[in-house]
Amino acid sequence: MDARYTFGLVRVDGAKGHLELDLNGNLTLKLLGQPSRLLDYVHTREGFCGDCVHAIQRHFVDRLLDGAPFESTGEDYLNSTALMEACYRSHATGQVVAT
Amino acid sequence: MARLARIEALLSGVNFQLVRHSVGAGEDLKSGDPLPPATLEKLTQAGRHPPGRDGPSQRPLAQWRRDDATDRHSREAGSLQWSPPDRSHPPSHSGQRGVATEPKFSVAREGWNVATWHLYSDAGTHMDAQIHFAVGDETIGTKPLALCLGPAWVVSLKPLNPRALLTVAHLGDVARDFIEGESLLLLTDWHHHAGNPAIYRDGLPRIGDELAAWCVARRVKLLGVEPPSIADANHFPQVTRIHQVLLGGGVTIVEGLAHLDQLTQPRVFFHALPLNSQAATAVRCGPLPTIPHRTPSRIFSASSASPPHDSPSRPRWHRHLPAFRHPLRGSRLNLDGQGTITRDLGLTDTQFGWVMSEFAIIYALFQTPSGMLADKIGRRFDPKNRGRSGLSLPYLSPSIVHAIADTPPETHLEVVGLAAARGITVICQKPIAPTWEESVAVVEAARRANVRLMIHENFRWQPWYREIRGLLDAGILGELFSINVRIRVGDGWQEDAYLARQPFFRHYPRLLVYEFGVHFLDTFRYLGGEISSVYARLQKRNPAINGEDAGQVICGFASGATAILDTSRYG
Repeated sequence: MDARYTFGLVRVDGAKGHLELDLNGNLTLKLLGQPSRLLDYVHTREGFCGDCVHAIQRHFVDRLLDGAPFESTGEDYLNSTALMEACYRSHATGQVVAT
Repeated sequence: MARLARIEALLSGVNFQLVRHSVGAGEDLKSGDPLPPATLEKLTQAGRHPPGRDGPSQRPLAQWRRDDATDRHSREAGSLQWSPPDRSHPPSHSGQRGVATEPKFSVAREGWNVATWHLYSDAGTHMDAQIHFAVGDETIGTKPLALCLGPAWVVSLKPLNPRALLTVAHLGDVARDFIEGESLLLLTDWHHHAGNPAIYRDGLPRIGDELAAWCVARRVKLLGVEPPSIADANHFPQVTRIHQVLLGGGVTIVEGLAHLDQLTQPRVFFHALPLNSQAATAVRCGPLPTIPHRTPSRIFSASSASPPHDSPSRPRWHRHLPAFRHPLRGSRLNLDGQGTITRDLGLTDTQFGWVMSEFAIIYALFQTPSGMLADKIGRRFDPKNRGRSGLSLPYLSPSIVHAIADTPPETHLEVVGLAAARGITVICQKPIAPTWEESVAVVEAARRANVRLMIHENFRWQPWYREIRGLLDAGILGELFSINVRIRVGDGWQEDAYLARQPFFRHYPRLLVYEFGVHFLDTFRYLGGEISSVYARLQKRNPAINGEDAGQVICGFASGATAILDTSRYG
């Protein structure tokens, strides 16, 4: 078992059902009132964490070539950075922090 | 020698039965043999005069030894079109109307064998375009290929009486398990009736209004059937209505399939690849099923905002781009042998030389001397404690089109500043910088210089998150309620935690959320949109390190949904 493949377990709930991700990259879809089923999708043990570094660098090169916007621009990532900062403020104050 | 193979491919794609039935007995043809003019004449005659109408004088064709690549491909990929014929039944073509050929040139006269083909657009296995029934502007030539392939359910409807009216109930469990964006292949063995037009065409199973509406509502991508039509071919209003409902509703129709019974799995990956013709209303297509083994499930590509997956076979040339790395962290550039790189990238030796010398020039010109300089006088020389990257502007090669700031966060402001001064696009490792103010300054430096800056946030690019995002975008889960992530890497409990892999982690005043948790905060945004509130409890479980190594974070999305991150590096 490689704990550094998906790094953990994920569950996503919605109005129509839920998804679960396990440590091996298996994604299971369970719609309300229906049996759960394993989804077919491509994920690889090559590289790091499903080869996500290759994927993002491919994105960078593709956008470099075609001039279209990056998915994570500096401006956009400041929003994620602000959430990180808010976690430390919340911990320090014991309060919910609006972001 | 390839001519016969080419002709054979044409024949097999269109109306192979004619050939089998029309060439005289005793002629043992195989790929690579020159095609005798008399045989070609027979073939083309056969095209004009279907053998079924020629009476009993026709004799079956001796076996062709089809050992060419076309046949191998067809056999392995499992072509579902009218080729080769089902050997368990007498060859017949009477369902294959609208095909005629005439000889154009022959080896005897001109030196090569060529025939002119006359094809009715709906002959044999074919797909329909919207313009076929005037419900849209789409022609076969403008149909996006994404609408021509995807995961498909093979639904067996056997046994089926002639003129059966197909309903949702016929789909059985598939109607329940079907996910929007998938495709349906209706297995009826109808091609077995091809010799009997009274059944094959006049008695075909019909898609009813209810099933057609269901296909549209459930966003069936491709609907494949074995009969030559999905609706009563003798009842024009019905044919038009059902086609208009389906085509107008975005369903791609494939008719005249064969050999679905040879599929061994209930789910396959189905391709129906049309000929490219701008004017075509319908066209013959080559459908291929493949058994899913980790099939790409970009099932929802039509409605998904997720970029398509990379093909693993694509060259990864960007992995070999020169990278700036801080001497403290050592160079991780691994160079393959030249042969591998040039092969992968399709470079000539000269081009490869330029790529490699660019790397060498950069390293020689500024990494090494500036590193030596920084070792001697760096901190003393720079009272503002800059110069931490070891990079220096004057040596930055004008041929560099982008910089990779994969250096510690405290150097990013300087690296991005250097690149911005030269108008160079930057990809910058996360975190952007050690503090919020410096992070803003990094982004601002790029913005002021009008250079493009991308943050190297890779977790959202993990294939499972791309898949989840696709499912959310396609509405499979409906409204998003919550995302729950539980992370236990188990690498941080020892006295010497992180020493081997990332020793600087031990000294970070802020560790878990700053370095690691931010990946998931960003992934939450990728999946659920912007977050408007945060509540966090953080802990230091390993006393040997400086910062926190565990924590729970509750995020409130602007949409009202919730994300929970429960993470610990300790156990």
